[in-house]
Amino acid sequence: MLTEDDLRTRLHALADPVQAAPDPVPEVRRRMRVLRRRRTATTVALAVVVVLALGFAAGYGPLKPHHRASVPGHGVAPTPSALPPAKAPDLAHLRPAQQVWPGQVRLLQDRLPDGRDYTVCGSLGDGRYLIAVRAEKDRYGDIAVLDTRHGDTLTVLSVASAGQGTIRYLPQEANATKDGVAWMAYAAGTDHQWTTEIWASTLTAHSAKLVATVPGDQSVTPGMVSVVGDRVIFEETGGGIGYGAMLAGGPGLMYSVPRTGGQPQLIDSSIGHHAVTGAWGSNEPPTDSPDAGTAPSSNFELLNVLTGARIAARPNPATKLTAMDGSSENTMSCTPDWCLGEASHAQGLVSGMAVQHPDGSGYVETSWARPTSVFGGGRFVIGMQDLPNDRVQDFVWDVVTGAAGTFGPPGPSNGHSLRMVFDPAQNTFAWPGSGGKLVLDTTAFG
Amino acid sequence: MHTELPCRAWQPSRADSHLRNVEADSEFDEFVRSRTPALTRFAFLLCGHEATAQDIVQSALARTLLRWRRIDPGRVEAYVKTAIVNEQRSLWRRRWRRAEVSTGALPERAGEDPTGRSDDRDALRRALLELPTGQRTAVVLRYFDDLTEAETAAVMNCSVGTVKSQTSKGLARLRAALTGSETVTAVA
Repeated sequence: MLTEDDLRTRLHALADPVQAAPDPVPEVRRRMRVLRRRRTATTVALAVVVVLALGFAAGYGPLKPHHRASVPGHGVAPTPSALPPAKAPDLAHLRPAQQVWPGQVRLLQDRLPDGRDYTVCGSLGDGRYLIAVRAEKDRYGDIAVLDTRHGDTLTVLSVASAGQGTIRYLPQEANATKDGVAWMAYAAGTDHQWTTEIWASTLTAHSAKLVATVPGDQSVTPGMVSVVGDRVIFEETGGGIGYGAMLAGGPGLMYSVPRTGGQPQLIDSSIGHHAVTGAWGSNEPPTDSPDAGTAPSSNFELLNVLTGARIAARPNPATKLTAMDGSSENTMSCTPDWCLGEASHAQGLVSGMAVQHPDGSGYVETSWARPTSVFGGGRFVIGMQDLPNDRVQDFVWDVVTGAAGTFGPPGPSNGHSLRMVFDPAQNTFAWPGSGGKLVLDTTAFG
Repeated sequence: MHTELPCRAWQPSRADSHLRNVEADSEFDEFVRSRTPALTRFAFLLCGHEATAQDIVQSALARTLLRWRRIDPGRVEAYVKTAIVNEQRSLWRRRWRRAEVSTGALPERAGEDPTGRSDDRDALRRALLELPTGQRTAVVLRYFDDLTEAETAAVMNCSVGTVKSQTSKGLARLRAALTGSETVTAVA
């Protein structure tokens, strides 16, 4: 029996060895300066928007929709979603995912023919998968294509020595689409200075091309990379090539560079938007300050930084997406098609997962379960539900059909991994199965 | 030195203002140096990861510095802890945005390598992470920081009743989880 005194003792035993960051003052002050710049930039942007809006209203008539400002909560009228409502899963009768989606769950070999382990980064839609090959414990080196159509052949796109003078090369994020692949990697030369490199490939052997280099350490590097047509879109969440040196979690800047390489161009309209998937960004305001409860954080917009299309995001009026402290904070995050949040009881306790379209329509809640990830453009949600006897079950939920399948057996709640990867841009989800890796390939859905 | 007039708003001179800034900066720096270790341990119990805890604390302190002169000196610690709780709570949204600091490896999918040998510390860490955020926060504030229910409610921006219920539920779940793990360990 765990007494309160036992708990005190064990909490201290757990936490006391934890080390604080050495000499934190300079870093805290740097972050404060960034926050201040961000607030100033936001104020200036709002002022510019107001001036432009007044000018248009006074002299040029009403604004056209695509000229409307990207002010959180005020710029874009919600556009009714053309998608059907989300369908709630039947969490009481879950079956293994490979039984629920036999045509979309593929079994891949557990290891490459040479014995190396790998992780699946995405599907190319034709039986080929972009993979990252494990080079050492918890590190990856090669980016490659595993072709299941021809006896699981492997085409290596990059090697650890891809960059001239590079002594360490660590791929971080990869994006596979029918248009091609791109990835970002941390690279260090003999001077041990880290940079972030953006690479793209046409999928032929050793066709990897370095298309951009972003100076800066690992804390100020791009957050996402995507292939959109003939361009690579990436997000900068830290200081580096842009004029808006921002912290992770800051307003975000998105850049575009040709897949063939060149000077990255800041997409002006993206300022204040975080990359979500493809060319879409979101200006969901940060609500992580003690004053967040009073911020107008429930309304924001999604912006396609290449086409200029905007989608307003509004919580369903019936939603109970309230924060732990009962404030008005809205915890949903959106792709252009789907938004995901945690539904809450009146006391702010999490009661389940909530999904809706950005315009607020199609809202459904699950019974008690926690979201841990999304993929497939937000259509597929990974959740975890509590079972009797302190066990938990992971599952994947297709919000379009309501189908849900488990991956892996239930496990003890205290042995469960809570690793979360919120990555709507990924088109696959893989987990270990008997005899290999099981992959839910969203490109195989109609 | 200055003399405040009881019926007029005092306007500090430029020199006074500068002096106050220097003093405030010095106070803040001293607060950061002295309290960061304890705050990092507090954040670690909320998030379960040392580097993330350091990141959370630095961000929370940066936000605190923005309002340093407007915070009641008697509530600074509570203010920072509230900021830490909110930073931790927003972690998953930051992960959605893929803006988290890299760990030097491609992100693992949930479900990969879900098991591992757990010692007592790891079992407690995992059990804490399994608690809903509110329960975890209440338990840590009550049993690690030894705050009263009223002090905990102030940090969590909720009622004392909510603190009681969250603490009770969290404690019950921790007991169940840790008892289960100990049983498993004994059998193994």
